[in-house]
Amino acid sequence: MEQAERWRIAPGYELLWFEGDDGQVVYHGGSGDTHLIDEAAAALLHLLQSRPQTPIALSSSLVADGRVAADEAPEYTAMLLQELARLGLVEPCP
Amino acid sequence: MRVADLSDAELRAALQGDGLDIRTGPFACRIRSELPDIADNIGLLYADQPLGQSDEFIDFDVRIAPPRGLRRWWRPQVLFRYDDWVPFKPLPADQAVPMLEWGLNWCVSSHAHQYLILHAAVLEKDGRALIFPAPPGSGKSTLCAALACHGWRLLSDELGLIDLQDGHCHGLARPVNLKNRSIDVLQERLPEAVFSRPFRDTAKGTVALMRPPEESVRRAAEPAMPGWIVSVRYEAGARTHFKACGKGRMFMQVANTAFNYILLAQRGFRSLGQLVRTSDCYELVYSDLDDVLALFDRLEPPETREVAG
Repeated sequence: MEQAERWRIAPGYELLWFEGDDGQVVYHGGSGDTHLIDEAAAALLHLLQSRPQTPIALSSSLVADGRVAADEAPEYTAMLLQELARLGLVEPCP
Repeated sequence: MRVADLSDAELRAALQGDGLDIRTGPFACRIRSELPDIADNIGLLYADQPLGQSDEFIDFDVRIAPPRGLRRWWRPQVLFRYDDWVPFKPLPADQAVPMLEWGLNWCVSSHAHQYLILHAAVLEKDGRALIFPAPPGSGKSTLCAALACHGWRLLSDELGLIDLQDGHCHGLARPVNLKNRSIDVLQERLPEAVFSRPFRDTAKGTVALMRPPEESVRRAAEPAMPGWIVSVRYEAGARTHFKACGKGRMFMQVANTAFNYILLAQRGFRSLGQLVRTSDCYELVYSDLDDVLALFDRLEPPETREVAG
């Protein structure tokens, strides 16, 4: 994954949220799929809803929020992006 | 007027003629059949259901009848017709009564998209709904029948109807479908309840139907505010295990068992979110019905949250 590459929410459809006490439920209007995701993945999606960002910027935000340790953050962020991309929720900016 | 107010001859004449119009919760159903088994069981199981008004819009016009040809005579079969359309393959004639029940369930779950339709048993007490979303075989109908005869009002044993506008739960108060061992268990426990004969060798095993309690039918038009959602699982020999369940997980479980959640798209998501948010969520594993009935007697109502959103 290119660290300079920016990521975004898969465009064209809104995300709807339900906040559970054991994670957040997100609905993707494009696929019609519903997913239960953990707080870190939800935080990453919320960051990308504000604007497209690089993995480095996302990683820094997750560290600043105390969601992940600094030394694990780049790898963890990359893993989250891959998983959310697999679900069709995010994609690299063209 | 109720079905029980008709004489046996009037009931059979209606079924064999223009149809018997009955109201089950928010729906008016017109049922036609020449089969004696259907007449006998409607008289038995739907006795308290109100008859439809003559000028009323009929939501579901259904007929249970033999197919044409030799199948009338050789290993007789029956067909379920909906507006003269045949949505299912025929079943042995001996299964006409369960076929009518399954067909009416299909009518609701395939057409009533003004509701979020859950595959769930739903009961009510003090204005709050107790919802058991669960797949077949989980023991929800057994528990539902026992609670319906233990101070809870039956809304439905199969279909939870959640109003998309105000989030309230609506009921059908139709017969409870029981399967296999639970038939004997409940007949022994509930000597005052009315049961159909067993229908053997169906796709679900042996099934029998329990007449809904009279009060449940009389109050079928009264909706209930969401109260509790309980994921239930019968496990032979298990001690009662009842604990709070995360709302995210419960959301996913209910979504996966709802009939029209995907069809309703954003409206379904918002409606389900409102339902889960305003309910207390639990998981229950049980084998001892007495233990579970006592547990539900002690169930505290959830703190009042705003339902409409």
